Amino acid sequence: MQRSKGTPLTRVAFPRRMVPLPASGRLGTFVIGRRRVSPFTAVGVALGVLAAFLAVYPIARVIVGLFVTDGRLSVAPLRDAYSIPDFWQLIGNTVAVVVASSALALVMGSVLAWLNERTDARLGIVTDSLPMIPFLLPPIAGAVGWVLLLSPRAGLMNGVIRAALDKVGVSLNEGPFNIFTWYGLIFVYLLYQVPYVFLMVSAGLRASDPSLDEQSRVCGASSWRTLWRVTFPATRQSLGAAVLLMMWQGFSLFSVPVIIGTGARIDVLSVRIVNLLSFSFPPRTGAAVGLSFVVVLFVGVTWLLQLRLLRSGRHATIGGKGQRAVRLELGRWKWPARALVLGYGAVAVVLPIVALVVVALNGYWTTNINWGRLSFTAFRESVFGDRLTLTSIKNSVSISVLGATIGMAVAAMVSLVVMRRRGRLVQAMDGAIKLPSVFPHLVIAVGFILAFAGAPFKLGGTTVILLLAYISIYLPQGSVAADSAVAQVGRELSEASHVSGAGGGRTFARVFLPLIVPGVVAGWAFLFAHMAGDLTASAVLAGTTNMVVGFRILQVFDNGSYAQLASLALVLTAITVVVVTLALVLAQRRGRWRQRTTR
Amino acid sequence: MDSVAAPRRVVVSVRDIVKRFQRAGGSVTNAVDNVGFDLLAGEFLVLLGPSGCGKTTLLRTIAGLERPDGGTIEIDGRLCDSSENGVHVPTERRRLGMIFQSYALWPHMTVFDNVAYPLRSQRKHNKRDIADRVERVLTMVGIPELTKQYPGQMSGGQQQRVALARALVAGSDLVLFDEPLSNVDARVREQLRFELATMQRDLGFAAVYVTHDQSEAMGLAHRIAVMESGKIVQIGSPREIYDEAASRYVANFVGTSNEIRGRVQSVEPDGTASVTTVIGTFVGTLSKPDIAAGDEVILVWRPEDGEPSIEEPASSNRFRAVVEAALFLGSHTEYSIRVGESRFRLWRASRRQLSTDAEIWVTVDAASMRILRP
Ligand SMILES: Nc1ncnc2c1ncn2[C@@H]1O[C@H](COP(=O)(O)OP(=O)(O)OP(=O)(O)O)[C@@H](O)[C@H]1O
Ligand SMILES: [Mg+2]
Repeated sequence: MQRSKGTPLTRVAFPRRMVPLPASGRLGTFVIGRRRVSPFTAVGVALGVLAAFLAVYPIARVIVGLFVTDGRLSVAPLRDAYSIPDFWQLIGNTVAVVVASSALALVMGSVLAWLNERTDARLGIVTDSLPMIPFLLPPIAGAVGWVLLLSPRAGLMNGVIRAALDKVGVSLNEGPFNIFTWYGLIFVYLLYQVPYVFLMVSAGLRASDPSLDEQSRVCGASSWRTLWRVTFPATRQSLGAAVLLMMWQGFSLFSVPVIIGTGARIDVLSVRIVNLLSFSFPPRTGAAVGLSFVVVLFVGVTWLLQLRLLRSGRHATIGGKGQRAVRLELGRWKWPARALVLGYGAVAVVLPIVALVVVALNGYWTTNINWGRLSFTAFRESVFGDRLTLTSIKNSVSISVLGATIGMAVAAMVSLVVMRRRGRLVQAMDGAIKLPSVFPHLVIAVGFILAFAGAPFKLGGTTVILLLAYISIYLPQGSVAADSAVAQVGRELSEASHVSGAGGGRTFARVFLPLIVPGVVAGWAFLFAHMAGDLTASAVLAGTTNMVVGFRILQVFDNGSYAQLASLALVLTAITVVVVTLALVLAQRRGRWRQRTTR
Repeated sequence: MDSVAAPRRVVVSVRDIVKRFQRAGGSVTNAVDNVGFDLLAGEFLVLLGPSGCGKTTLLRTIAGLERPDGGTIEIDGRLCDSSENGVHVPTERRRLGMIFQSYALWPHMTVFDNVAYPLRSQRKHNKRDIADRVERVLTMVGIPELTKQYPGQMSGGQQQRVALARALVAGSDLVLFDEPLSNVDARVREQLRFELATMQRDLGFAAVYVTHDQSEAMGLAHRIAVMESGKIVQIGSPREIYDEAASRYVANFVGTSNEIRGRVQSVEPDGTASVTTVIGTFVGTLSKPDIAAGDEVILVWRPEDGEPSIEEPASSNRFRAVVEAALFLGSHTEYSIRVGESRFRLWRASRRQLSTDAEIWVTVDAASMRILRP
């Protein structure tokens, strides 16, 4: 009975022609490299390659455009950019605004995150939803809202303050605040930088081991000392990531400076690039590309610093999950701390929305609001009575729905393929798709002009170029969302399906899709919100022939009324909130087995 | 081993299977190294071995989830893998059942949908037929009332039963198990092991079962294949593996054993040999015919094979020892005994205790004393 070491009992030779034909998919097989691939994988790879092309080609065009002009090697774009009279002023302004707002945001965001994660000041849903703010209230709406509140003469809040001051005998004609100043500009940048810090630092605090803090306290360090010597240093990777995110966002942020910077006569890079491309005739593409290079340079430097930080930060301990830190009791500081959180919420969301609503319903912008006369008439007229606005809303919604759907479908398929096979090609494809995330939106938009606006594609001024640009710009985020959704589905779940006799397609439809739907829908909502609220790419790529909300807002800002502007910003906010909420509720319901399973 | 009557059909035939993995550092390991065996219809084969020896990899290769780097696999007479000819039949066409260590139940499907899945994949059953079969198999595994539950709402033991039902529902001839009982507590494990054995004997499917628990292997297997770093080092019935271990590795991995070093003095034609050791000369059974006089060997015997006595026994295979400690374990008592520098273990079912520090004689049958290469 004893057989030594699995020596074969009989040797069977298979003549080549008797070998059954290998088959791995009902529709036959494809060959990529030397491996046979199922149709499902083939489609996934094909889509992925297409998306990778869309991501890489425009960026490559920007880089080539920097050094090649009219087929000859030259640094003309850089020279053009440098010869802009206020070149250094532009860079100085941009750096000042971004650095100042980021530094402040770093402090504020960290404090808010710490209050929410490690103390008893947290306020449940209110604090948890902080990072959703820029997601639901587009920066353009916030910027317009704050102009309506703090413009020196007609600002609603200034009006209220002046009325109050009048009562104590101080009478002012304007002010006391002015949004069209350096501090005004930095203030609104700050509002939109804080959520990034909050998001990253919260994640860092959640992942880092709370027993480090406890250890420090056991050693006799005070709470403050613990906070500064242990807690925050342990999250420095997250802080680094937050800084990178803020640089990346800040340098290409266009909506806030176009509204506030223009009024304050503070020029920044992003606004100038758009002006050179869209509002100069003929467009000065060379100079715009040159300035884009400066933006990339700044982001690149931050990125390098971040890498060094990551490398030196190896020691940061990430403890096991499920360790629950004992929340620090703030005692009499609890309510002041909560006031801080609520205050941020009020300033970032409530006040600007109130201002938008009041002005939109009032029909014109004044400090003497007749509260009894507020009505929807003006609102209706400026939105539904305006053909261009209606077109822009229709276009925006359909492009965003289409873009988010295509984006997430591609992202999900690519994630699946990447998870299953780790070949070079697949990895390169995945990297390429995520590449645009390290380039400012503005630069990619410029790349799209260079790549697709002219011959042979001739897509300039069409909705197609907008759709493609949105997909390229926002796919990295979609892809990350899909990756994490797919990673949650263990390998054995799909293998069990194959064992049960199901092929690739059926396994995808029955096992993967239902399990990743919640994550994918969340990603979809994210893409939709960003595409619908996009101003940066739209400013460069849209026009009268392919009107979208972002571009219409800029037009109205240039030559419409503030009430119209407020209405449009409100409509945008409403669409975003409604669609995102619907999508998330839907995802929740599809994933109801999750709730039932929690014991 | 159940008597193997006449020629039985070969369900799986594995030949010279090699599976290599590239480690993260770039080095290559042979996770499965030239393995071959035949599995007969209705046979229960257990792959036994320590962690990392390649059991899971071998099982996954049979299932078609890994593609072997060498060798062939035939299932039901159909060539499923042949690296030479580039044949690889995908898992879904191999018509087998498999139970994963994590059960791999789909959390978004009810128990019914989970179990019906293999039938629906076949696309040849109507609704009624599916409902009937699912109900039957759920009753068989003892959870007919749970059809509408989601896996997340069930205990580990119940999930285990659902996974079993899903593997059996399509009536495959071959079911693969990857440590299915390692996630449930000891009592449920014993119960499930018993039920599984009964079910397998009743339904008559062939099974390949991976475990590193030797008592599980003993209780379930018709045959056990003991693996060591990718190779099968011994394959045979539980009794053969236990009583006739071919190497020290197998003897130590399956059950507990006592070892004495020694040198072969003379070899007898009947397969026995006498061995001199520091505690005397013993007659034992050779594990390999090529062991010759003068060889360094190890005598291995099981703790339950030592017969203690107070008076000097008549037999020759004996030595004198001191009882150092007694450990009452319920079904038996374990004694630690000492002879000079060597310590051995002795198991006795008898209620009458040997007192500590007592001087005793221990006799070990020549048949129970295995002579192995060191
Ligand atoms: N996908 C893989 N990539 C690289 N190495 C692998 C991979 N899968 C398994 N190995 C290696 O192959 C060897 C055998 O692994 P395998 O999982 O088959 O062990 P096992 O006997 O099932 O162990 P356990 O009892 O712990 O489950 C191990 O050394 C493991 O590190
Ligand atoms: Mg294993």
